[in-house]
This record gives sequence, C-alpha cells and structure tokens, in this order.
Amino acid sequence: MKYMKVTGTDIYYNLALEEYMFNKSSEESVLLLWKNDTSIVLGKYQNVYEEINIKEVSRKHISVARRNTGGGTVFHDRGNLNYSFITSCSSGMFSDYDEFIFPVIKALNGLGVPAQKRNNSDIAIGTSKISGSAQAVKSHRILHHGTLLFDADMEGLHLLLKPSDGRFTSKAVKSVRSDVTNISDHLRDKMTIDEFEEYLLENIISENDGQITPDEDELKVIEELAEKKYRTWEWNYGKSPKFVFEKCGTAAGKQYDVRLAVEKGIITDCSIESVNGSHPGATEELLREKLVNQRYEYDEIKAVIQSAAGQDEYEEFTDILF
Amino acid sequence: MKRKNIIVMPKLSPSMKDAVLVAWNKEINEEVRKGDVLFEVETDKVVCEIEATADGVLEQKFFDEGDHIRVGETVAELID
Repeated sequence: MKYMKVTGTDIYYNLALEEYMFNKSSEESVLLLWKNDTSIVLGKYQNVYEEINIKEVSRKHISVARRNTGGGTVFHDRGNLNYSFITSCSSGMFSDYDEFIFPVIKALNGLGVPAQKRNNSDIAIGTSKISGSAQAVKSHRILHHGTLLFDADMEGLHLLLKPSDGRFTSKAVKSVRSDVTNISDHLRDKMTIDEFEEYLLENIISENDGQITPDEDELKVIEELAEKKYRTWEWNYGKSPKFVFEKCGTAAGKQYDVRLAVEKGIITDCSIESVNGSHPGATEELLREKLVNQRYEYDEIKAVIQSAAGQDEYEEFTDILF
Repeated sequence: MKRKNIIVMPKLSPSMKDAVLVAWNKEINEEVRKGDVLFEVETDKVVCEIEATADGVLEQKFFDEGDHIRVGETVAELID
C-alpha cells in the first residue's frame, strides 16, 4: 500500500483530494493521514439543519462540509486525525469494517490504549468513542475513512453538534450520539499528534510501498473539484434531504408557532402563527411572504427578518426559525 | 418485443439485510445502460452506487428517496 502525506488542513480541499484518489482508475491502494482546521463534517445524506448548532456555527464562521461516505456528523479540529484507506474490492460486494479498523485498534493497543471495536464501525475505550468510520463503494473501489479523537476540543465538539430544540421531520440519515474521549488521555507515554501520525503510518499498513504525491496537473484538478463541489453552499447545505421544521418560541413578548418546509436548502413554504390564535398581524404576513424562496441560511434569514420586523424582535424571531 | 427488466436490492455483504435508498440517479422515462449508476443506497454507514444490470428505459420506481428496502425487493423496472 502506498502512502500520501497530506499537509494542508482545509477540509474542502482535503475532501476533494480524497475523492480524486478514490476516482483514479489505477488499481493502487493508498493510505491518507490528514488533519483539518475546525470544521463539522456531515454524512452524504444527512440534513445539516438537524445535526448542528446552526447559530453557533454561523456566529463562529465554522466550516461545514459534506463527505461522500455514509453515517453521521463529526467534529474535526487539529486534535483529530483522519485516516483513509482507498483500495480495490470485488464488484458487487463491499468489505466488512474489520479489515480496516482492526489494524488501527492493534496499533492503539500497542501504545497502551485499551481500545476495542464497538458496534460495527466504531472504536471505543470503555463506553466512550474515540473513532468512527464510514465507507463509500463504487464499481471495484472502496473508500474507508475514520476519525481519531486524539486531543480534540471537547467543549467545541459538544457545543457545535448540539442541534436545534425544534422538531424536524425528514427521511435524512440521522447521527447516533455517543460519549467521546480523547486518545491522549489514555496513552501509556505522552506523544504529540504528529508523533501519533508517524506511529500509525508505521503500524497500520503491513507493507509501505512508498509515498505518492499528486503532480501539478492533478493539484489543479483537485482544487477545481474543491471549488465546484466541496466549497459550495449547494453541496454542503442544499444537498440536505427535504424536511419540515416546527418550533414554538417567543419574540417581543409574543409566542409563535413556526412551520417551515425546506427543499434543497430553500424555504418552499412557511407559516408563522401567534399561539393565542389571534389573527396574523401585518408583520407575520410580511415575514411569510419574504421567507418563501429564501435560502435557509442563518445570516440571510436574520437580514430578511431585520428588514421586516421591529429592531427589538429580529434576533428573537430568527432564533425561532432555527 | 418489449421486455421488462426488474432491478432488485442487491445483497452487498454477507450480513446485509436491508438498506436505505438515498438517491435516485435516473428519472422516469430516462434511458439506462447496463452499468449506469441507477441509484445509491446507504447501509451501515456505507454509501454504495448500484449499477443497472440491464439496458432499458426507467419505467417505474417502487420506492422514494429515504425509504428502507429489504434485500431482494424490487426497486425499479426497466423496459427494453
């Protein structure tokens, strides 16, 4: 198996690089080890709005990205190490997870970490998860990748993955929440994440056939893929399966029931009704009109509401819609 | 003479019992060639492209995106 050292930490670029390697027609097997700046990464068919704290993510300008494999939403930062195996498989059948995660477990045990397999695709220490993984399969190729929480910001993880208290109705793939812990808290001897990366490279592949590096032309193709797909709002937010969102909340002392229908990230239908049953006021009617056909994006919606509602109300109103 | 080709949910691993159809890649009345990606499924966090096993025009979809489908169930019908 060959190895690619990934030095950049831009999640969008790195996902494009991974897809490029996955789609390459060669029969080569390759391992990638990579880290990203703080970001949230969703499974391919998840609804972003029901998985993350939209307000905090917008406020902190956190990158939100969508990967090509299944499963749930994960938190990435420089304290999380990702590993990707890209290899060939028999057409029509995909691989078990064991062949990919057992070498990782064995390597962790070698550092004194009491890691074991949990469920089909997780690695845990006791009841706390340290790694999740997922796969994509096409024709004769399989991509298996996983996270390894080495020294990640746990407070950030919990805050950003805290979803809305509204109610979502959708057929999207849902995350399964888990208690988590950092590998660095369980090591026999202290090491940095870079040392951990070097150790894994030496221990999770049986034969290291050398390093590969994309050439100039390939780098251009990868960057173009990042620009046209992974950096776009349409991929990261708009690809969420259609859903209905309902929430009851208070703005300017009045209680409202809100219901939004969203498709491809665009509000297609909206109702805002005051809870005491009184006739909708001019503000509610105006808001309803302005919100339909809007992108369901926090700052854009806040701006729409600010222009329609009173100065005191717009922040509270925005919070009812997410 | 027109021929019906049935596409069923394949068994993609020894332990697989069902999957979610997460995306249709072809529309009704669209021409499909054997080997084209007809739909994608997700099972156990694996997203898998399912290729058409025959040529034809996509006549009927038996499930919507987001539906759970058991291995062996009919998913689509192609007319050749």
